[in-house]
Amino acid sequence: MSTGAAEPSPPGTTGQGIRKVATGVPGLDVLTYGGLPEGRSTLVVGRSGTGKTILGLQTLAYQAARGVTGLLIAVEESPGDLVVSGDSLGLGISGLMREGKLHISDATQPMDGPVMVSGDYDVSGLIHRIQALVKRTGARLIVLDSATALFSPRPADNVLRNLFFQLVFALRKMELTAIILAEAPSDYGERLTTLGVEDYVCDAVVILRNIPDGSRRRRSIEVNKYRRSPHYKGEYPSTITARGLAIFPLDAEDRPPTGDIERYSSGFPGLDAMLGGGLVRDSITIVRGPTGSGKTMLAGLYARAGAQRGERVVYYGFEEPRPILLRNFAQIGMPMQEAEESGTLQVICRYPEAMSLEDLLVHFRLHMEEFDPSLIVLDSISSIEHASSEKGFRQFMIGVAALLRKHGRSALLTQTVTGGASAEHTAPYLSTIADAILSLDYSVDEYELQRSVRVIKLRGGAHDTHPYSLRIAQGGLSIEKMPPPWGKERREGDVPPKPPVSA
Amino acid sequence: MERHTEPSTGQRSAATAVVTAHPGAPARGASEAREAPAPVELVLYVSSDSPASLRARRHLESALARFEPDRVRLEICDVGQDPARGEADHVVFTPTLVTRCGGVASWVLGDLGDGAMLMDLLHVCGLEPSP
Repeated sequence: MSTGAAEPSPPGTTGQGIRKVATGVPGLDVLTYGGLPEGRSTLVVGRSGTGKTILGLQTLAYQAARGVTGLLIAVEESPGDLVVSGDSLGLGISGLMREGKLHISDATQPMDGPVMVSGDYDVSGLIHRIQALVKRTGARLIVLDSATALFSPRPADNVLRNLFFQLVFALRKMELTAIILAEAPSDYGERLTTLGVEDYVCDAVVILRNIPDGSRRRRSIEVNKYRRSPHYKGEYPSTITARGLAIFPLDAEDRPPTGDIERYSSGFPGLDAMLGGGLVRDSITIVRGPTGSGKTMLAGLYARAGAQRGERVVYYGFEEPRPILLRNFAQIGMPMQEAEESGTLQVICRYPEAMSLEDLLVHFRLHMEEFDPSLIVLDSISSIEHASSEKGFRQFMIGVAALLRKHGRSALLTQTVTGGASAEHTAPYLSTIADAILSLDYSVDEYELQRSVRVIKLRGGAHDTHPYSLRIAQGGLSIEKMPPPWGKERREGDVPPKPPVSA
Repeated sequence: MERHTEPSTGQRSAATAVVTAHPGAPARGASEAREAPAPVELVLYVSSDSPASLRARRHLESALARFEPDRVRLEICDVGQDPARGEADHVVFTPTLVTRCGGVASWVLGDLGDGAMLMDLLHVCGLEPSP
């Protein structure tokens, strides 16, 4: 019996593949297609502080709440410290222990005297203890925290291998689903664990990392191996919040397509016409352009128009402080105050340097769940890009896209580009993420600055390929069809062009 | 076969056997016992199915044969029979010898094949081999 997958498994795995035990760690059960192998051992590897113990505690608490009694073998930390850790994450460990759904066995090294070694020994003592506990409690899930601490002092390689095999084999005979935690000597070293023997006998291996990334750190998780089961490969961004470990499966869990394409207004009739009837619902639009091309104004008024229609909208500003942003909109006669007061619009300004990208992702997710917006604006993703490494930004953007698609939200993201609006940005994956790309630009002649907008891409719909003019003036922003330049064929409805400016 | 030389306290499980180094030695008088220092307490945790445990017991009993029997109190505990006792003494590997003397404890993992280490340990507890 599969013990309650936290999130739906991809088709063709549930009931057809091996039985699995869900961890309840948000996102992890997606990466593993439903959870960890039931009745087998999974190795969770990471350096100190990567969240191994938290993953173990979360899984124990999640399964205990679903009727699966768990055992925690505490080798590295005392049972008391583990209870405090789990309770502080809101996992209710002490309550579960009182109810008899979770048991912690103290296997820490004795503190009141030395430990010496004289000759051969085996791990039967621990196995007998586990057997007795399983018999008494009916436990089906066990977490060993950790193998590294258990085998300290470290026996010779061949002895260690035998001892670890003896332990894993005994757990398997008892039909326990085991999570064995082990320390890694480095994040990307050739040797997976400090002991160097554990991964061979475990059916699944999960690696947790906490890597320096510029002036910050970036957390990630990787399902390194999973016998007899498909799994998502590669590193996925993760974070540790006040509620525990959370993972962002980057390309998992798209909402099923409804078949019908629903359009909604961008807030600008001219742009809607240019797009062939508005933006596509539940899609991601990127608005690209150089500084001064009108991105923030377009993004803000898109949010304001949505809120005025009665949609719930959140606008994240990463470039200007909130008072300045709000003043800029008020100055052109398009204040945000009314929509904010009515509760349909939230304007949140923060500097991306102030928090890690993983924490920002968590913030987005929690906000999506709590405020439940249908439209989301990020202005601009370039500010986030400048505050992180290339790899960190890529993970962040793919994580954002996964969140938006999972929740089925429409989003407008602005991006500052230099070297001409048509220049492809150095991050080609952004074009893949976007369902629509609008390119903003401006040109200057002797007399005035002329802004323009072009649709570069629109998934799921035909659109006008010609540029439109974009004007920012009192009362908002207008987008209108532009006349073709001299010498180009004019079409019905084109506005007569202005005569060319003589050089 | 365990050789019980004193009645069970009633609190120990059947898994635990108390033996002395010289089971056949005559008991000392009550007044003499009061004056003698407290015996060194040894608990050897074993698994019944483990060859290393059998060796440890043989090595230990052979070593203890050289000491005054009433200076040592040895218990053999099968963790398979009394896992709670093993947990209370932080035992995860078998065999494990836990020694307690003068409020100081130490743990020795392994079959006690290193005779010199064992003798040193007992010496630290104030035991000297019988002449």
